[in-house]
Amino acid sequence: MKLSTILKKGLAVGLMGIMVASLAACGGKEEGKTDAKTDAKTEDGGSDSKSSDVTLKFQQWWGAELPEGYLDDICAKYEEETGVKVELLTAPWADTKTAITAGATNGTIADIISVDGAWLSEFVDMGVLTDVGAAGVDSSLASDIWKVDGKGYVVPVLNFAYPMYVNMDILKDSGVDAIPTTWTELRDACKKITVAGNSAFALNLGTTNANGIQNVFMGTGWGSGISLKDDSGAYKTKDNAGLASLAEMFKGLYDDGSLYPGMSTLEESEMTSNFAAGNCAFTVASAATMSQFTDINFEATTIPVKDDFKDKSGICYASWAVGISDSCENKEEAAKFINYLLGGMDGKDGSASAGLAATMSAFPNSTVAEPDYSKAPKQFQAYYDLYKENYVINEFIGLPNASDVMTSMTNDLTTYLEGDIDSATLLTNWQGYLDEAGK
Amino acid sequence: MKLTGKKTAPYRYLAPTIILMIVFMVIPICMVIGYSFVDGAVVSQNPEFVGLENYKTIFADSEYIGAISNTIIFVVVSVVAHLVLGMLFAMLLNSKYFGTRTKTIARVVYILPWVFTASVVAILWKLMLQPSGIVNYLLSVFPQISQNTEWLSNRSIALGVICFINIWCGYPFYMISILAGLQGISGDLYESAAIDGSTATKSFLHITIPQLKPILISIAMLDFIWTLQSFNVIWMLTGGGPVNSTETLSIYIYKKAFQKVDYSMAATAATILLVVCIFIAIFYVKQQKKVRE
Repeated sequence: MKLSTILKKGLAVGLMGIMVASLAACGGKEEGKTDAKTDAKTEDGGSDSKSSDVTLKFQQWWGAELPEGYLDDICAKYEEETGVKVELLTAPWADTKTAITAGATNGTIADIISVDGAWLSEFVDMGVLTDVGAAGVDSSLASDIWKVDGKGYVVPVLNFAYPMYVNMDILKDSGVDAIPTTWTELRDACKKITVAGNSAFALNLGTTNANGIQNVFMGTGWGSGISLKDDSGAYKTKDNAGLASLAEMFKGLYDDGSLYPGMSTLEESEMTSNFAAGNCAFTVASAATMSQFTDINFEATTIPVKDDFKDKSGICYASWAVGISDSCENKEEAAKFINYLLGGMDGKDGSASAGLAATMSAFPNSTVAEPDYSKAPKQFQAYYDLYKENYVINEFIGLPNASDVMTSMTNDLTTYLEGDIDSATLLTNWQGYLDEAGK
Repeated sequence: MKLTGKKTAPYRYLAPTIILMIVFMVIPICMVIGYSFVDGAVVSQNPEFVGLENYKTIFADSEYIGAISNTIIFVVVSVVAHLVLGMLFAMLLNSKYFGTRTKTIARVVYILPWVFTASVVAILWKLMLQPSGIVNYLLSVFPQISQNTEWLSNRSIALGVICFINIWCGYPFYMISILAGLQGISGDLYESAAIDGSTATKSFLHITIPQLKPILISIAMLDFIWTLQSFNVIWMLTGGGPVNSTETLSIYIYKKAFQKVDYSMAATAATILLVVCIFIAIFYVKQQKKVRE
């Protein structure tokens, strides 16, 4: 063998040896460090020796929507108080479901996961979620816990109500004197607005994220006490007179040319930005979007109700909610963090929840949080009173395959509004989707 | 045989590539094919082997048949239009009637749609095609043609509009490739044909086309595969709507996997698409081999 070859091979072997030794040394150091830490705590009494070694991974979309660093600060404060580190895995809402599903598949799922109401049933079926009560979440701290078959799996932290926003300048320009409160008034107002050359009512039936059927269509129905379910709690849309009247009301708006153009591909974000730009008179959107409407003269109110309806209105809501993954090795610690979000360290301090609510123009699900809305827009403060007078409802939460069912329902609603099927067929088709999902 | 011997040298050189291909291509593809034969893939702890049942189910699904139909229309219209437009613009840029500066400016302008990313294309066209967008504004001078047309929300025209946008952003690839081919054709051939009394049409049919044939087949095959898998622009413009009227196979697969969380059926549809792509790829490779020979 030539000398140069020997040198080359020797160099390669030497480099490899150095790399292996470095890696081993790093591992050893880390191990040593951990051992030292554990030993120290054991000597101190060992009360929080377990907690301080725990790192909880929290998969959510909240960080992408909150002011930068807000959620990190909550986690840092929690770490200061407990020694438990909460590592945030932030992705946009649209990617979170995929991230959780992929994580569940390949065993990299986070310990705490934020869950949308439409995903609840699928995640329970997949065995992704664990019973939060059994893990140690204090149910007295939450006004509501989402359950499937009697077991609580997900705890809402914030509730986002869906008011109807009204562009007051468009109303004035169109000769509409007051915000409509009934369906007849709404239809008349929409006609006037359309005649004046403005767009009246936005209904988003795009299917990239088919939530218009929930937020706008059923949001209008829930406002008038119309339900997708019968008295026994089973989904019942076929021969549902209330739903038929609701569908006919929207058909009337469509036939009058009052619905915002391009509805069948309109997405929620486009609807909101169009309202913010002053292009539409009425939009149903999350209260959290209120801060975007800085350049228009608007009001936030409950959705007009059926003419003869006199009861309290149901207000559609969505939530920022959390569950604990079934494969989490520190379920107890994860539950403690959820309790902290709701009621602080002692179960009496709702400041974290209240702060989140005030920051996001949302309503806390915590029973001890008292948010300060004094800095919120006056429209939000006025709407908060309406929110307290009425009740929140979302019949799609916990529905199996909710996204799929909502997409199919949306497609049929478009077909109905365009006149290709009648309302009886629409409601029969919906019954089929809901029954199939139930299986 | 020694591991470090001469005989193993080629394998050692190939090893990194082979390992990468196995990890990032072979294993995922095999997994997807495997998913297509089970029920409850990914989401179930114990997926049940169902043989060809998923394939039977998918071919009975009217939404899938609709997606196939939309995909065929989308791909055929796009590829043919790309070819025709690409040829037209390439010949224009190769023409002797324009000066060098004009050609350079035209080349930059014509290639612009290809430079834009899918998101830019989608946002651009979505804004322009809004009922209150610039397209309807410009067309408002012809009230008999358009009155606030809902270009992307009208079921009868949405697929056509999507095809148009795909054609707009895809033709420059053809143009550049064909232009390179045209510049490689010897002028002597056209001169000889002219001396023999050949018309421009005959020269085009009997000289230009045969000379460009290998390039045309290659780019058409590649475009066929790319268009077949096209997802981003359609998803961002219509999401497959209204009422599935623009739902192509890629959108169908995405919805099955990530909206309906039915990975088994998504894998079944993806496997069928893979088989189609493999056939086209084999044809493409054979064509390339023929050209080399």
